[in-house]
Amino acid sequence: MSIFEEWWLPIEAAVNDKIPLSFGQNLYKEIYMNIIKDDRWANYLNGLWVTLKVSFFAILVGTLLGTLLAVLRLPEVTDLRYKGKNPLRKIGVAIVHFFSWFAKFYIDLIRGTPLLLQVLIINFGIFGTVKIDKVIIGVIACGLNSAAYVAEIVRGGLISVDKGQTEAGRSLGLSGPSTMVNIILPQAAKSALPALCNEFIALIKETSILSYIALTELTKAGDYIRSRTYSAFTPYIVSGLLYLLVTIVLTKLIGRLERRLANSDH
Amino acid sequence: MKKLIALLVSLMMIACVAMASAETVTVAFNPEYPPFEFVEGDAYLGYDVDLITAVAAKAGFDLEFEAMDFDAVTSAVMANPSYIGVSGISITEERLMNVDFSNGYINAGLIVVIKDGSGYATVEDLKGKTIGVQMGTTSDFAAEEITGAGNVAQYKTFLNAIMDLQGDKVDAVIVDKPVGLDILASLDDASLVIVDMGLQADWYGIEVNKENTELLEKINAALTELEAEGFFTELETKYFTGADVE
Repeated sequence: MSIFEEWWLPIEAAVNDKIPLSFGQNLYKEIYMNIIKDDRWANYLNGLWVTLKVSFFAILVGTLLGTLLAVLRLPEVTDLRYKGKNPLRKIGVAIVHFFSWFAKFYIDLIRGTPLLLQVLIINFGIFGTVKIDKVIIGVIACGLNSAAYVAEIVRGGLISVDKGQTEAGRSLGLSGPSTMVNIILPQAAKSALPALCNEFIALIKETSILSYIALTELTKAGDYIRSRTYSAFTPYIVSGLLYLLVTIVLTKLIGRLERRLANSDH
Repeated sequence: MKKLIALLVSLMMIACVAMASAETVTVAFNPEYPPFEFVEGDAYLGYDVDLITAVAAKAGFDLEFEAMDFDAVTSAVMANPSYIGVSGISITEERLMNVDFSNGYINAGLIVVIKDGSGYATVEDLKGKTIGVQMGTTSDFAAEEITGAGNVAQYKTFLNAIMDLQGDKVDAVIVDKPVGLDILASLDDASLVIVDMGLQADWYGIEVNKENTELLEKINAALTELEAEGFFTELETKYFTGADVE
């Protein structure tokens, strides 16, 4: 018997005999029931692990897809014109315009509807009859959602890069895409970083919505404990502290990255 | 933490004072559980709704309904002396540590919903399988005992569990018998079948805050009277679809 259980026994006896508990005893009852009993702390850690997994891959998906969407929305792409006679090139420009239009449509659609609805539609609708891991559904739903926000953030970053940078790249003989990837995007990423950090933090917290489709992430872990102990405070506070821990660590890491990138300013 | 608890305690005290003068009792429940409680139009209907309305009429208090998730009901009753939980709540040891219960008013039993052709016939067959349940219900506790905590998918509503059963994301769903029969009758999905694996259920009771023993006595007295009048049989014929409930 562990020391925690030894402390618990007299309190349990008091509860059974309907003797009122002191403030300290009540506090320990909360901690014992919601964290220690039945290794419930492991529930929070498992939930945290799922939240981290989903967040990491959703951020990855969101950033890659979002950057692609941002590029498609640039004036260089939307204003692309071809006045020549080559039919293949004409079709090519039409396809680019279609993708550009789709990017705008996608961003409006995703930003204009609640994430909860998107999650429910993806789980019960699109993958309604497919046996698929809930973690993957979470990554898809949150990743697709985040992409729309990241797209606008990255677009802002891209616009902020001076036009002269593109001209310099092109006149040095780099191709259009190569100029974008090697010269414009790194500079855009730097100015977009604070806003991106914001979006990542928001995304981590928004994964809590996945508890609706029975994915046992951090919020659900707190919910689970509450459904066993009926305590409305302690489980959520433990979950909340863990979210806070993750976002604080992330903020620190990105802050460090920002300072390192700032070195190239001098 | 200390401050938070102090805040909570003071809020509860304020609530106590406010409640002492009021005669309105708030029913905390989850009206997504037909035939026990459900919404039709803008009215709450169901076995539990009729029952508590009759109890209130007999015991002489006013009712107010507050819809919430099922797993929030017991917490709400714990926090507010004027709240009662009437939501198909089984009387369990764990809940009794936190709230008082009226005398049990129905024992419906649990059933298992599976896909036709999956061939699960006994509890043994369900070991290690993913079981969908509504979070915090007796079905949830039963499923955890059968297949282990890691294999139970807990949903906010029972219907979501059924939808994931249709989508093959869970292998079986455990639910209270009248609820399962009712929902399957309205879904009319031939691919779903019901198996009675003899899972034991607990009696449903009305949750009352531990401080409000006076209310508890009133409710119990009303329940005894209603039973003598044959009110429960009336409710069963009104709400249960062909379910023989013991």
